[in-house]
Formats: sequence, structure tokens, C-alpha cells
Amino acid sequence: MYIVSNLTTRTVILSDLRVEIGPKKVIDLEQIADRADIDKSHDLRQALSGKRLAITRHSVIKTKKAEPKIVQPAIDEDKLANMIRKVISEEMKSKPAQPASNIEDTVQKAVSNSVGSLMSELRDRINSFQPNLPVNNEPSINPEKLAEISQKSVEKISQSIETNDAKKGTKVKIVNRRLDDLANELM
Amino acid sequence: MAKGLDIGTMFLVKSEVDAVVDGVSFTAERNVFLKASNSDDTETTLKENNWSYAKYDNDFYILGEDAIKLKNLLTIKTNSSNENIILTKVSELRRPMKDGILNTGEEKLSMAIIQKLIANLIGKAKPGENLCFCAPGDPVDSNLSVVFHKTMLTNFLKSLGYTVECIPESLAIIFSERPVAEDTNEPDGKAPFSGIAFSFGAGMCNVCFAYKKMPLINFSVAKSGDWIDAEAAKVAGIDVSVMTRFKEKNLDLNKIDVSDMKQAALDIFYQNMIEHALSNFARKFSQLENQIESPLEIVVAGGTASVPGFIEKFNSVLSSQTLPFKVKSVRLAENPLYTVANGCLTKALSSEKNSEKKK
Repeated sequence: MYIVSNLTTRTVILSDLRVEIGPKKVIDLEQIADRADIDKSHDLRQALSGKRLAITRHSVIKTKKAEPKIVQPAIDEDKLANMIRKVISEEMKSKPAQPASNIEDTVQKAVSNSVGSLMSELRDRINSFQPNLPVNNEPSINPEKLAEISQKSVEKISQSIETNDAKKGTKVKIVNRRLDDLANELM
Repeated sequence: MAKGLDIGTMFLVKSEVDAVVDGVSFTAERNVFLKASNSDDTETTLKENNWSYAKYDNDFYILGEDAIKLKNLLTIKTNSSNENIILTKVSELRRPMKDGILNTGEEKLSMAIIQKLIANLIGKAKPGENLCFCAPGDPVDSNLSVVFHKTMLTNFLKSLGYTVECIPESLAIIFSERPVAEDTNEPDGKAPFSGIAFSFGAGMCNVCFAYKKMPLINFSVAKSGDWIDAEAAKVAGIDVSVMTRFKEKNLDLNKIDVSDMKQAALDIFYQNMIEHALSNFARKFSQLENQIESPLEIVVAGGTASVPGFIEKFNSVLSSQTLPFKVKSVRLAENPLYTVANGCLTKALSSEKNSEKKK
């Protein structure tokens, strides 16, 4: 249940939940809208923070937050070592016997080649991973319909606004003898 | 009897025929408000000073030009040594519109206030009165949609009794300024209402290419006056409303003093805004199915383009760009602040004449 009470003497409209709450009335919002929609309602939050509505009672629903799935591809050290050994032995076979100092270069080259291959393999593995993202099945709101609904609540507010009509803006008059001709040409 | 209405991010402008001057009368109101403190003498103070205000639910909101004047008057820049002093802050200016459309991030009170400002400006319709207002084109550099904005305003204006139509903002410039292109298919070799229009407003820059009144390209970009003010204010380290005031009153793009941080910053961001608008237009133009060979007139309008030196700056950027069309000429609209409203009025009058003809 999600019971709210209207603390004011005017009807409070929650247009995103399509609910009207009469003056001083108490209502269970869960009878009218889904809990997910209630929790997301911007108009409800505004009304609560503006103290036009107050929560009388609501059941707390705890949802388990989905733990983010982190991809940690394991570095296969044995595989890396085998690759390095294989490259080194191929290098050694292809070249004549070399002095000791050149062996260091050969080993270094073998290690960097192997690491490069392993990195590209890891990259392929990461790129092929498709996380299971929740699919958004909420229907999109037609902006024209939303505008119609919003206008109703705006009109209610507008009726309660008083202005003093002190000034009506800065007025400028400009001679324009072409206006009529332009209007005729546009017909 | 018809009216035009330019609903801009910074200004609301009404236009109507004025027989006395054989021309048009424009009434402009700032599209902004400021929340006042809720003390016992607030209403008395507001009335004594003849400030424009609205009252809702025991809260007071100062409207229009008075709001921006008070904000600038009461804003004090503090330096870091004053951080430990607790100051009562002036509230922020509230803008019912942002980026050229209704600011749906604001609460519904904001929308109610802009509707009140509009209702105060244009009043209720006389029987059968036509009203034409403008809306921005779909932006190419953001995800904003203008459908909600157009529908809200159309419904509201209809509720005041008007026969309402809506045209793209930059098309209104074409209707007002009547650029002409060459067309050998026409008897007199001319195609009126053919050219390119740039409306550099506060929230958005709107661009239109029209040929014989038909808009072939119509879009908007988010970099315009407000963006210039915000970015330049950050660079110069001053409040945005102070930068806005400085830009409106003191800036001359022909006489930039580079040692003045405010002027230097504004110059850079003006250049950037023009480049952004032109490059987007060039891209759209090159995507047209049928390319236009005849040279085209460019007309520029809007408050942001009203600063001295703007056309020279625009020409300078234009000459440095490779464009897929030929430029016949570049001109600033006759009255850049009121061109859009004038174009809307022209359209409303034309629709009214059409209706009378059908009767």
C-alpha cells in the first residue's frame, strides 16, 4: 500500500500517474498505479517536497540490487609460457648459432610477439562478451498526449495565480508600409 | 485584427498592425521570473515600487524585466576570503524556456507563469482573430523534441480564443524580409521568398532555406546567445546575468579590446557559434536532392545578431568556409529584434485574408 493524504484545500493532480486527489482526501496510490510508476513519479516527489501531500503509510519494498558482472578474463600463464617457448625455438632453428648477447634480443622479441598475440586474444574474448542488460519494455509516451495532460494541471495552477498587471512590456512602433503587400503575396 | 507572437527563450514579442503609424506595433516582455522572499511586507514593497509580480500559494514571483534588473542589482560577487561569512543569497532567475522550448525540467508553475505572461501580453482574442506563433526547428545537435512545446502552446493559445497556426522561426524571417533568388522559369526571372535565414536567438539558432515560400531545410542548433553568455561568463569569472547585460549594452564586435576578458571571451564564442551554424547548414544543403544553382541571399536576425559588428563577423566566418552554394548577399534584417514577430504577423494577416476571401 502507498497511502497519501492531501494536506491542502485544493485538488492535487499527479499527471504522470493520472491521479487527482481531492482536498483533504486520503488515497492508496497502489490501487491506481503500479509501485514502480509511483516510485518514479516526478509529480509525487514535487507534491511531497512542497508539503501538498504527505505519506501516511507505505510498505517498504526492498529490491536486491543486481551486482555488476565484471569480466575478468584469466590470463593463462601456462599458455603464455608455451607460446614464448615455441616462438623462441622457431627463432633458434631459423638462425645459425649465435653468440650469447644475441640470445637476449631473440628472447625479448619472442616475449613481445607472444604477449601481443595473447593481448589480441584477450581483446577478442572481451568484445565477444554480451552482458545481459535489462530490456526496457516501457511504452514511450506520445508527446502530444503528454502535452494535453500537462496542460490540464498547468491550467489549474494558472487559475490560482494572481498578477498585478503593473506593466505590459516595452512597446515599439515601426512604420512598415510593405506589410499588406507581403501578406497578399503570401496568400 | 491578426497578431503575431514570437515566443523566445529570452523575450516574448507580440506584433500587431498599428494604423496610426501605418506600420506595426511590437510589445516585448522578458521571459523570466524571480522568486521573492516571503516576508510580511513583500506585497507592499512590490506594489509601492510598481514591480510586475505574480502571487501563487502565498509565494511571490517578480516577472519580466523587473526580475532581471533586481537580480543584477542584488547579486554581489564574493571572493574566497568571504567564504566563511553566511550570506543570504538572491534566488536564481527562473527561465520558463530553455534552449528555445518550454523548460520541462522546471516545475509546472513555471509553465503556468509563462502562460500568464503571454496572456497578459496578447489578451483574449476578438471573434475570429488569427494568431501565428513560431516554434524552433528540430535540433541537429541535441535530442530535444519540439512536439511537446508546440502542442502545449497551441492548445493554450486556442484556449484564449485565437485561430492558431505555427510556423518555423526562421521561416518567419523569410516572410518578413522577402529575400529574392533568380529563377529563369518565372516570367520576371525572380523567385520571391527564396533565400537563407538565420535567427540567432537566446536559446537556439534557427536556420531555414526556403524556395518560393516552401521551407526545404529547417533546423536548429543549440549554440546561441545563452550558450555564449554561459561560456564567456565562465571564462571571465562573472555571473551569467551580468555577462548578458554587458553583451546587450556594451559589446561591439568591430571594436574588441582583447585586454578586457569579457570582450575577448564574447568575441571567441560568437565566432564559434557562427562557424557551428554555417557548417551544419552547409552539410544539410549538400544533402538536398536538387541542388540550387542560383546565388542565394542570406538574411540574419535575432537578438544575438543585434550587437554592432555582427554582420562583419558573420561575413568574415562565411568567407573562410567552403560552401556548397553561392552567396548573393548577406544582410541584417531591418529590425533584427522584431523580424520573427513581424514575419508571424505577416503570415497571420495572410491567413486572415484567405479566410475572408473564402467567405
